[in-house]
Amino acid sequence: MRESASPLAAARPEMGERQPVDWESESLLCRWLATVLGTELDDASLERYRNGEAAPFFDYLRDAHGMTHEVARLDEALSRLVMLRAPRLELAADFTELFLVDARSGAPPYASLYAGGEGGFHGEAAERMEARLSEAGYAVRREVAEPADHLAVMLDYLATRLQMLAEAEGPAREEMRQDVGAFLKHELCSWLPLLVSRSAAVKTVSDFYPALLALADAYCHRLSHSPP
Amino acid sequence: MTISRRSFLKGAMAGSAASLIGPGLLTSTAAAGVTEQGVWKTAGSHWGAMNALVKGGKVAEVKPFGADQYPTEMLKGIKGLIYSPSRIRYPMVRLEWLKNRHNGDRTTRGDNRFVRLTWDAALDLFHEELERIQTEYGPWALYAGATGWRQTGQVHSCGNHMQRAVAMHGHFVKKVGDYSTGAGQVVLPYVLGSTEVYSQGTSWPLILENSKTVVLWGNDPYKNLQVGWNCETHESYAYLEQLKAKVEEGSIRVISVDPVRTKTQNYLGCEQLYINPMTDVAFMLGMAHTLYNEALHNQEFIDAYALGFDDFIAYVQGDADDGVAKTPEWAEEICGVPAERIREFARLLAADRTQLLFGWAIQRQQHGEQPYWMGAVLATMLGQIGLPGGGISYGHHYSSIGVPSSGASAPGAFPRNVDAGKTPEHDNTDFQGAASTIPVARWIDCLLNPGETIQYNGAEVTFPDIHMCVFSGCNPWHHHQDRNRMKKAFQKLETVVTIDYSWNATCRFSDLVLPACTQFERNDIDIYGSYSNRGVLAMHKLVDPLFHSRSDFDIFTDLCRRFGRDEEYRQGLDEMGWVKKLYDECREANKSFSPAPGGDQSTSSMPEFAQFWKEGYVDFGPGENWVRHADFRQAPEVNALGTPSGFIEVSSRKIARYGYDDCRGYPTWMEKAERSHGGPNSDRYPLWLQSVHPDKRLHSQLCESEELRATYAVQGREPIYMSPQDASERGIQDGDLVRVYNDRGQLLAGAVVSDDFPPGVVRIQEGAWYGPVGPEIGALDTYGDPNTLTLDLGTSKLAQAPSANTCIVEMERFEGEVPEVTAFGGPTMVEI
Repeated sequence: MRESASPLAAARPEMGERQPVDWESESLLCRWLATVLGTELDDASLERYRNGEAAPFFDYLRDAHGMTHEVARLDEALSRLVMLRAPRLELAADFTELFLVDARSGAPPYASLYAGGEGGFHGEAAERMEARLSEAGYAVRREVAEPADHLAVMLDYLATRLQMLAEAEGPAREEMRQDVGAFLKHELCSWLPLLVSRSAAVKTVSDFYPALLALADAYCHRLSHSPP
Repeated sequence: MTISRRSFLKGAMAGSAASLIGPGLLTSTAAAGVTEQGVWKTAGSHWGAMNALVKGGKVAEVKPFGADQYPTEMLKGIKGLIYSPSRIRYPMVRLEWLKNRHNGDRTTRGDNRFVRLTWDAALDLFHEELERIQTEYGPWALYAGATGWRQTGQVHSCGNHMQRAVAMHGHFVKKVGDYSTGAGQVVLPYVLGSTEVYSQGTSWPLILENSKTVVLWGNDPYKNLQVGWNCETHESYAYLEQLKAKVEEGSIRVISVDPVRTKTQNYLGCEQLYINPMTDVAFMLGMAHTLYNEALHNQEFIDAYALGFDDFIAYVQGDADDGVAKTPEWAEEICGVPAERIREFARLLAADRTQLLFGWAIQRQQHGEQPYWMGAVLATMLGQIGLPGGGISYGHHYSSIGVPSSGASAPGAFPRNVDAGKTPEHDNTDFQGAASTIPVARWIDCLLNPGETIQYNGAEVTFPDIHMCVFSGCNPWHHHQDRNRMKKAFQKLETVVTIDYSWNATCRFSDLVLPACTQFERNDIDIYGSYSNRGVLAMHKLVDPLFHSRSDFDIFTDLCRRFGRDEEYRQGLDEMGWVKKLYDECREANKSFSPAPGGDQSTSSMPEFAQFWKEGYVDFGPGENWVRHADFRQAPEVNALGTPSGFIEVSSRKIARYGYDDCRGYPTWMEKAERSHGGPNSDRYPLWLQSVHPDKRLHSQLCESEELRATYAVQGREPIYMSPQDASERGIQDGDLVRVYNDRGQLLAGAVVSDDFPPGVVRIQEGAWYGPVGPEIGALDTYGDPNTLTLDLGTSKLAQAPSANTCIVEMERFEGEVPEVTAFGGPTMVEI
């Protein structure tokens, strides 16, 4: 990734400077993560990544959350894609290997499968997510055809809550913030480390998705500890 | 200058990064709390009918159907089947095949990388391959003949859908026979005039009333009646309960002829007559010798109803070409039963009314035709065929055979064939001299030896050169023998397409994998009681198809759309249209039906479809008692059997004319290619491995249900049952991991030491999923599929059926690093 590709490259915060949380930006970041973890990259998207067009996200993660190591790892994985003859297909096969076929030895992105280590699909975590979605007036789009505890769905839901948090005022804002914090702590941070651990054991051609999972885990952890 | 987080958002959205954010995955609905109390629905399965509580779009609870008084505990595996981590969630294609199609590397098939496809892309590929095979080769290059134990339901029966759709596109190689009764269903029409294995048998009440002795010959009905071809009613268990009471009071003597103390024996508390594995024919010949020489046989019956006895008895007496009299002493040396015990047993059966109940295991071995034929000869000598509680049955352990049939008409099914008057897109019927139909168990021979000609049932079969296979709801990587031979054969295939709902080994060895939904995710209708035909059951869709899975109906309709014949395929009806059509046709056919006396007369008129669908079930009432072959006994000239002569053929001139060295004109004893207890190769591999039908699965179905599997697996592996002596001699403790091996392969299993097993006999139930540690030939199977070790050999030139129970092995306590079980996941990447 070329630093110069970032429109924000020249606008770094000073070291140690404490920033107020911009929930709207966090929402946007969650939507990006939901997208890239929800489905395989197509040719056009892959080209954009290889052209450095994801730099705003990377820069933000480095600058606002101090995730230098995680971003560097993902950046490195992207750089190494040039060594593959059919990078899109190989990434798609990695995606499959990790997320789509083997729900026991792979790294399936469903919270229910990490309940007690041996849960099945549509477990209690999925039921809790469905209840959350229902109470908030949402449902998973029919064509997505994934349970509510799919990581991408959960991140997308988180994005909507962060956007609402950004727009909330007064006591509702604090209530919303606490709800988001609880969601992060109990519904995401509770199993993401296990997912990352599983992904590390899966043999992949590229480090792109393992690096992305590690980044998502670190991000959720940091966001759950963000200042009000 | 410091970054403003507000400026980050603006910057990102203004730049091209925004295009890296896709559409949201959520949609707005009316806000609502989870207040749904759930709804109870009716569903059916091979394991019986059930009521399921569906709550929040999920199956929350499964209860046995009210009419089922003896539900199987396998129902506990239903939720685990639906929500199994092994589910196929998306259409998938093997990466190497996608890149290079049929020119790609096939050596890694079964252990390679896949990628996800959209349904459109997947069905396009499927169609393109069918086109390529038909145009580049011809119908001889496509095998879509294999069908298996599908999921239940008359509309969605997956074999019908696959074969109709593929047949509308072009002709293909089909199969004959099956893996359960391959030898029996070929030989018995020569002897008794029908397959017998799939025929209604004498009603249980008549057996209970009239039999003095019941012989269970290699037969474990208490285990096997848990499942049925259609929705199982479990009515047979009421009769087994009565039989148990009669054994206790001493009014019926039940003897289990078996090397193993079976589940049925333990339930009934009955006697066992131990016999060495695979030696039943020798034992029965010794009995025939006793019956004949002590004049205990029924010569009058033989004279009136049978042909060819003289040729057979000459063989028994030692007057045939082998010159060996089949005395009990001769038999004892082979079967391990003392000669005097053989005589006593023969006398016992001749003394009073005796019902012989044969299981299927003894014909799933080399020369499997012989014990079935010999059983029929014994029954003929006893002279009780056609009497209530006498004669022989080959099916009382299967699908409610023996439960009186209601007499009503059952619902039909979605058609398997192309509609009358229609022709396929590719109407080429030139198989270039090769057979268009092959014996099912010889298909791996066919892949390995195209062009070779074999003998089969009086004809010659030349193997076609198959390049592509299609499987749907059929798991040959469970039911065929010798996995390592299969690995070699699959490397010859250009394309394999599999439609299924879980990542079993057949999927892993395929190129294109399409996810079907389970039977609990679509609407259907089923027969309640395969042979009793007790009623009609509604199979309500419990939940929507999980992930991206689809019903077989939808999958193959969309395949046919690619060649413009989807409307013809579904005959203009949708799923519920078909459910209603089958019900309405059944209702029309039953207009004149009256329940048997004692049945609910109000059921004489089936309700309108809407009422049936709401109530979930129509009961036809119990049937009337019936005696197999009673009509033949009463008037053999009028009600002739389906044999060439119309009589029981103790010797078959027709089979004799075939001139087969492994199936002569009358039943004979022949040594096996390998046999324990002093037989060939028993010095190297002294243990007989029997691979019986499982106790807690239907073949391989439900093995993926983790909750159920946890109730029987040992250290996560399939159990291997063994005697205390065999365990002790090898330093094996109950619960140990064991490596089981022979020249064909090796597997890991978990030791269960049991007094039910004699020395020299071990059991691994078939249906255990295959999961090798790697793609190489001979790789250790990590879960315990017995067909890693079994012999892939035709029973004889007559039936060419599976010989799975001709298998000897050795075992040892497993030492070293224990590999993870790979049987229940998808394919994994290997170094190329």
